[in-house]
Amino acid sequence: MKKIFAEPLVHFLLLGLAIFLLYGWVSDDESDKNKIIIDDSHLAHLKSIWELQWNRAPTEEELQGILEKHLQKEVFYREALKVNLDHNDEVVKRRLAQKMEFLSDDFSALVDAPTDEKLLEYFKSNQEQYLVPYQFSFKQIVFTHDKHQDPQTASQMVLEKYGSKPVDDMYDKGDLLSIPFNFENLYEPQVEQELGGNLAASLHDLPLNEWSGPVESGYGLHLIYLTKKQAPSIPEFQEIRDELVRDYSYQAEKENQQAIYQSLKNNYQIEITADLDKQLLERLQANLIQP
Amino acid sequence: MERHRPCSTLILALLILMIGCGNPSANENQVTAAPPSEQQSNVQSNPLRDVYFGDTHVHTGWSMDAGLDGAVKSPRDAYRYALGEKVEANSGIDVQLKYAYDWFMVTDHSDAMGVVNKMIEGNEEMMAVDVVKKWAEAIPKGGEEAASAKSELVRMQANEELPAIVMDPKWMKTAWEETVDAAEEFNKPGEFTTFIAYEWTVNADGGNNLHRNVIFRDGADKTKNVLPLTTFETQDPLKLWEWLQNYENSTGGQVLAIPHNGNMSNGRMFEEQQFDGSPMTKEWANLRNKYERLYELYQIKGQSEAHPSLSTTDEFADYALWDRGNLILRPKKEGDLEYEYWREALKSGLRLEQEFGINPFKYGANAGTDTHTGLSSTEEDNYNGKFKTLEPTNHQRWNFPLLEGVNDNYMGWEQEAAGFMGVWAESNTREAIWDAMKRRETYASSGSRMKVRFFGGFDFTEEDLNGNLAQAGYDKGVPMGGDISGSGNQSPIFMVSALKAPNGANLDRIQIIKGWLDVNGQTHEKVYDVIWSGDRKPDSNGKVPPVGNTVNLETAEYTNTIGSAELKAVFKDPDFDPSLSAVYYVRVLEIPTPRWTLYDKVRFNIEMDQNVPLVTQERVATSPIWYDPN
Repeated sequence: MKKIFAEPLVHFLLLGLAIFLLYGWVSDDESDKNKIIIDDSHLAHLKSIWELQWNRAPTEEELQGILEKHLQKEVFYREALKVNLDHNDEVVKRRLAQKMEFLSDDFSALVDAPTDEKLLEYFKSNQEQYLVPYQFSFKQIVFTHDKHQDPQTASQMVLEKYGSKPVDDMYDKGDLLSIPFNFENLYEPQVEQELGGNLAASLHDLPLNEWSGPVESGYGLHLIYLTKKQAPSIPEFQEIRDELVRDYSYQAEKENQQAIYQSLKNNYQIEITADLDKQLLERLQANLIQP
Repeated sequence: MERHRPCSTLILALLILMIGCGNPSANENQVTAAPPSEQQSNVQSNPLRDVYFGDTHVHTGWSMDAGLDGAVKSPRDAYRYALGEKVEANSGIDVQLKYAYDWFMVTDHSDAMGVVNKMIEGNEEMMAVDVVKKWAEAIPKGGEEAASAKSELVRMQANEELPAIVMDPKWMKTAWEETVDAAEEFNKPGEFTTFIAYEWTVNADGGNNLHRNVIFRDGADKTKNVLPLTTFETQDPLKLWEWLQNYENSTGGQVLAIPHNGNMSNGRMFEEQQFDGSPMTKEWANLRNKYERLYELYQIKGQSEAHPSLSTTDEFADYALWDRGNLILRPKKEGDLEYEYWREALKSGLRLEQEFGINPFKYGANAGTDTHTGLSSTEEDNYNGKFKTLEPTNHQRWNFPLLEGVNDNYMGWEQEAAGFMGVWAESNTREAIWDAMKRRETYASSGSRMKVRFFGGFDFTEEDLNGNLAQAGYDKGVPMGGDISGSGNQSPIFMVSALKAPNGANLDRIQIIKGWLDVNGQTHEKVYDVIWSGDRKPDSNGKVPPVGNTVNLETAEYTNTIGSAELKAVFKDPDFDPSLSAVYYVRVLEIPTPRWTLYDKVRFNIEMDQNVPLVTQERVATSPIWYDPN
């Protein structure tokens, strides 16, 4: 990450300088401070916000309202600046800090664009995160604690009696509960979400094409007839490319933001002069400079 | 001279950044995710519908009040957390949901959006303009050439001679567009649905909550063509509905709004007049009915389902009450409560329908967290709090002020770890789930993932109940959110079932709550216990006694030795009058379980005041079925 940064950071700082210069330029001399002029570009800006909201041009009456609202904001804003109400205002500080973060994210998108090469490398080193989970199809019946003193024994008795009869004979041998008899092509997390307990994980070890169990869910004990058990696999790059772009960019943004922050911080001399326990102060100070 | 031009200045700055970076190859290799909203051809569809759980009310650090409290999570962090990924909380600890959401959205306040302009990549068009190209070449060279290019830029800007291409607003990327992009990135039809949404946040008279979450059915192609309406422009809900209508008319898209926290509106949420005090009109009622299909009943700042002083015979209305004032804790006037709660609105809606020919308060049931941390959590044993200052790093958060007024505060312990919404839809796609919200086939949950079905018709039988209930329900009647109308003197029959959450607590009882309008224009309500666990006998008032309580206050554990895994019943209204309009909804209660405060007390080994509730009874309320005699 450092290497990517050495050069672009300079440009990020240049951006800061550019903004500084521009703002310096737009804040004109004293005599202009009590003038509010609404010129073409101003009007166009205000109108374009309206048009984006309403998909039509404002009427004269609406334009009057827009201008009045704008003026009210502008007048209060200027008066607030005159008496330094922006200074040490927590909301203003957070807002500006957030704008810097947005800028650094834009910046990240520019310098760290997710090329195929980078994505493949990212995929390789994070393969486990992208595994297609186990997939199962099965039939089930359930024995709940509501209906049975000892659902374990009850289920075993049913298994012995009907286990080798035609599969669907089992349909009405468990409790009446609104859980489907048939589950088709569910991924492991879906089984977990539907049935809870430890049932999804238990399916790994069950035999195919015969009634087996009981295994426990969040509802009770189940007999299971497993017809499909597909082991986890690595997906094709193209299949999950969108996801990779999303994840890669997310991580790059975080790293870039951190790198920019650390580098900018290095320009400051940070001292805690507060009256603190000496050892605590040293620890805090050390961590602030070298986290 | 007032020359400050917010957009052009920033464009200029970003232009300098962009051409200053000297890395044009980066853009050519840019990979952008294809807009996924329309890719749903291979998503399986279930005509009998499945229930999908999600949150319609989430703020991130991009909402100013969340930012004020120090939340830094972005919409992308919020989506990751909702998907079940481990995420670093605002206060630095790692947090992870036990149960991921099926669908999700971020609803940041519109008033803080769109202020920050962001430059998009793709500068080919710009480079086609000679002077821009010249700068682009000069600036990376540095030294005098770069300096002169930059001063030329500044001069041209000052003299308003900048090339038109540079001034084109299309180069601006607003926080709104960024919000849209984040939603699109995470939308995966069939697996995880996201919605483009925002919150329109009206604090009328400085604190009366009239907030609405605005939820689009559409993708980036339509929603990026608009800017959210802010309350800076208008506080009148009628204007919001007109804005929604205008959006639909001009884009061909679809959108709805969900109001919330009537309990903090000091009598204004369901006031029977327009915002400006003028009388209601048919058009006003029409727009409200068209765009506001759901109402948020449960969330962190309490419930707005029913109030015990209005529903005096409902022993479960005394839950999560935040009724001491509005958002700035200004106390209520006498009579305010009547216009704040859903059940009252359902009843008065019947009356207003007679007057206007349309029911302006035809609200289905919704719930959402209203978290301001970006981390939506309702799990009592894994609760992250409303604000950063109320994340679990703060072991004394129960005693930390949450909302401060002049004479009164809402304290941390009063937060409810609630809620989310269950939606019955054919598939987990944006279109299917949005359409289900529109037809109100939804239920509000305080935090339980129980599955609740509710059908109304005239000829359901016990066989339907014990056979394929959903098939019979759709074939012979209407689901929650629907309408039934008079069928001679026949009494409607309702079919209701509730299956406990897979890893959740057993169920205590199912209730049907009825509201109706009598011949004198008076409204009434009655709560029926329909079916309950065990062999409890109703008392002389017809009330089934409490289910009991297994919560261990020392260990924060409970057992499912009481209650039922599933309850279902067919219910025929015993007090039915075919000539009166009525409304019916279902409420299901879980057995008592540990509240988040008890988990905090045990894991942090701390003491709490006597008045802090440590046990809760999670609940679900479905959208109603309306009966129209005509």
